[in-house]
Amino acid sequence: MWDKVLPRTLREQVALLPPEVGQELEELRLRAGYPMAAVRGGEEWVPEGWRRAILTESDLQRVLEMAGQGSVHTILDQLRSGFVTAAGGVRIGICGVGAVEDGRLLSFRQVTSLALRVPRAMAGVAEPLLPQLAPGRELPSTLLLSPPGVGKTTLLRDLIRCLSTGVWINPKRVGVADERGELGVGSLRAFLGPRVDVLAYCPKAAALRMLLRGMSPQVLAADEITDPQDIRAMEQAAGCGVTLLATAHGGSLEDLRRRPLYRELLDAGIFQAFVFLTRQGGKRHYQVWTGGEAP
Amino acid sequence: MTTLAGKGLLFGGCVALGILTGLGRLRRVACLEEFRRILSSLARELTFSLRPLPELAEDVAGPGPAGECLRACRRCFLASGGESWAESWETVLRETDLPLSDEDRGLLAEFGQVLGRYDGESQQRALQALLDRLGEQVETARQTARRLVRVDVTLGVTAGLFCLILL
Repeated sequence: MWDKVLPRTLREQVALLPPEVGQELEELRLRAGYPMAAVRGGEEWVPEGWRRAILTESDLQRVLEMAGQGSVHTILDQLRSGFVTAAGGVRIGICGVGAVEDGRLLSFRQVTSLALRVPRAMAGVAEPLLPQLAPGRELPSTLLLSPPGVGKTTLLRDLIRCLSTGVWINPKRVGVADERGELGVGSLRAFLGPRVDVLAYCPKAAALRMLLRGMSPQVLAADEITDPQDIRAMEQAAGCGVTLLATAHGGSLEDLRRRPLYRELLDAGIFQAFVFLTRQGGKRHYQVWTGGEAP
Repeated sequence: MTTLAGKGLLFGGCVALGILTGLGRLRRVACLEEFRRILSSLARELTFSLRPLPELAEDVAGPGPAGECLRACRRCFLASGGESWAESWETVLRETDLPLSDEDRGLLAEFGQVLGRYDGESQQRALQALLDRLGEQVETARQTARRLVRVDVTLGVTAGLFCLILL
């Protein structure tokens, strides 16, 4: 996976980690002027062997070069949103000095930080939740909620797999609006199973509508609802009798209610089930709420 | 007998040198035309698909030296582990034996600095500018070849005859 995004020197540093640590890596943090840092169990640290290798801006640029396969035109739209998804599903968050024209970010004049998040295709994480979420073997429209970096996308991906392959629940055709290429692009596609149609790197709202019109999905899935247009598209899909699966940032339902966008989403009554994810002592905890409307 | 064979070889060598020089000029024309063809395809693909350069290079590269140059650039980029496409392009242009003049190489090297570094539209504009300039180079090279190929062969024959007379 790292061979698609990290230059050889940085790959060699990652290879210095003990295998069990390497497998549990959640993120790599690259900052110009500092050594590369690793994140595991939500904690960031700099391994001993990495401390003397101070990164330069050119190292960070190399990572972006590799992520775009030497072709900026393939990632420019993503770059303007502040992140890039590389082949293999590694998501790269970008910080630096923006080059702006007419209030629009054109590109980055200088790149100072990168956050490389490792995609996790963990089969089975959703299975313990299914008896609670779908007691009648039919999954209701479900919203997954958690603060960033706790595992919403991983859970969503596994729920899609369960739906597609019929684990516990009756198998369904799932349309996936994968705007950032994190759910089902590249090697992740095979993980999702046979009844899945992925529309990747397309704006979420447009993708949801296209999937609805073109692929007759029984379930529509999208990661991180952040835009009023996404909500409009979800309302439209819900009105067509499609089950929805989505994720949103938020520590609790109260957090969500405080934000007008999500208040609207909750008031619309689109979702009948909610899963709250938290991390305590490096372990993930899931709390399921079903009941027809938001608690 | 040996003297005759030596004279024959010398004459043949001079003629062959003349012919090879002439063929070199024709090869330059062919190579420039191939680059033009490939880069036109690249421009078209960039307009419609915005695919990454390694994929495009694989698809548009033909069987000639220009196509081989593009394939070598792709290999170099994929094997480099962090090199930019521009760097790979520069390395390959430097290390590949192409029948091109320094001016032709300069043009291609200059364009390499644009490849993969800007948005699709900017690259297309740069490609179009390069194609126009390559077109001029092809025309100049063709006229030069037309004018000089016969001269090269004639010079080869003349040099051969001159050597024979001297001996």
